[in-house]
Amino acid sequence: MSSYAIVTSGGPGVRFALLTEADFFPPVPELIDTPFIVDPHGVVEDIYEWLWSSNQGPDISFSPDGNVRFNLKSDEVSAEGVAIGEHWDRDDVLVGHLDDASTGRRIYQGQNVTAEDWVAMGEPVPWSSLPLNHNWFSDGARLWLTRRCVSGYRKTYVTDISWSSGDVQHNVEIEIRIDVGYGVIHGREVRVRGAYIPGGNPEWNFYGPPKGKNAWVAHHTGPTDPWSARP
Amino acid sequence: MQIREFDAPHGKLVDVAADPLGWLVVYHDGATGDLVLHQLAFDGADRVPIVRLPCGAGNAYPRVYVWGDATYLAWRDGVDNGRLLNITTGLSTDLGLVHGNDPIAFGSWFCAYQENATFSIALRALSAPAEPVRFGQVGRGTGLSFVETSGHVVLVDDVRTVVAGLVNPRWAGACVVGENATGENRNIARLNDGREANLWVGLESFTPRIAERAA
Repeated sequence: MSSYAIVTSGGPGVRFALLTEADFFPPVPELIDTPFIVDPHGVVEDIYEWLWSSNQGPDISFSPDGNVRFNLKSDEVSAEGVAIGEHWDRDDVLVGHLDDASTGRRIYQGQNVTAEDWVAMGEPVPWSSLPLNHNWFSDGARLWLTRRCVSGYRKTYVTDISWSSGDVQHNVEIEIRIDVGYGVIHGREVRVRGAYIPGGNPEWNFYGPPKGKNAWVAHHTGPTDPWSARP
Repeated sequence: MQIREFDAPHGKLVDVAADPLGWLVVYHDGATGDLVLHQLAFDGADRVPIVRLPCGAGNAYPRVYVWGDATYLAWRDGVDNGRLLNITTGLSTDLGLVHGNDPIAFGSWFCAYQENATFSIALRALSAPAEPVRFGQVGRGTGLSFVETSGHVVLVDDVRTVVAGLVNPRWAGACVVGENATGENRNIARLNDGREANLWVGLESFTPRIAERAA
């Protein structure tokens, strides 16, 4: 296997890089930032066909700080075969975040429910063999991490997050972005992957096979930053 | 991937080559005027102490090159004279006045340089550096990129944008590296099979140079 030395200058002076062929990856397309389109019912059209796949889950992995994996799943199907929405989990464990499955409402057992309804049910039930924590939305479940949107989807929302430890963080601002191409979080690219295996190979879960279509979540740092506050 | 930064905040005009023992990195230290030669092992570790050659304040455009059993260094000194040094034997050759940016280039068994204000190109065979050979080729103020086996000298402008997405490409083995042609500052290294590596994203990274150590 060949190795390559590359040198350059500018900015902070002279720099040297040593690469082997293992350091090269298929190029990612330039980021396409197309504004999302909303249909008359308020549903954002239509990233679904390529981003959310009905049976396998979209399985988007992302890592705000390069150390923590997040995994977003969509169109989960309960044991009853009912689509009940998305969830996120952190480090393959917890941080439930239930969102819209398609219509801007949570769906549970075939019924639209609000965030307040969901919370009122008590501890959310697990599905897909993954335990879920839950969170409260400060002003309702107004963020629909829709499975229908197009590249360029951006949404910022404020929420409270309840951790499995019992700790609650209030007024956490979270930003979600979905784009064709790739995302960069803190200098690291994140990509859609084809399969998510809880507890599986971290590198595989993080990078996965590139499809050229990606989504990621960015977060705002600060005193309400949930990710840095979480040990 | 291994990344390192030399202690040279005013370093510029870099070049790199591979000799049998490791990597040779040369640059011009804009603060001291020295030509600086780092010799690194193939794992990137320092191999021997840094070599400094007084050069002067003007842009030296140094080139380092390995051909056969010898390693060569060429640069423009502070009075615009081209210098060709066989590091292996210590033989130094005065190329006379050289002109333009990147006035000197290596390739195959040649050292080429722009020898007057009209940028006419002279070639010297590395095996006989005292004897200039001219092919009547004319260079340009933007300088020389490399010399082909035939002795044809490829100009910087000839290849500046010939690789899609890159500016100022340089080749080594199956890889080409260049500045990102659009958007953010970075260097892109690309293998023949299309795979890429991004380097120094967000940092000014001018005219990258590349060397290969074949498997």
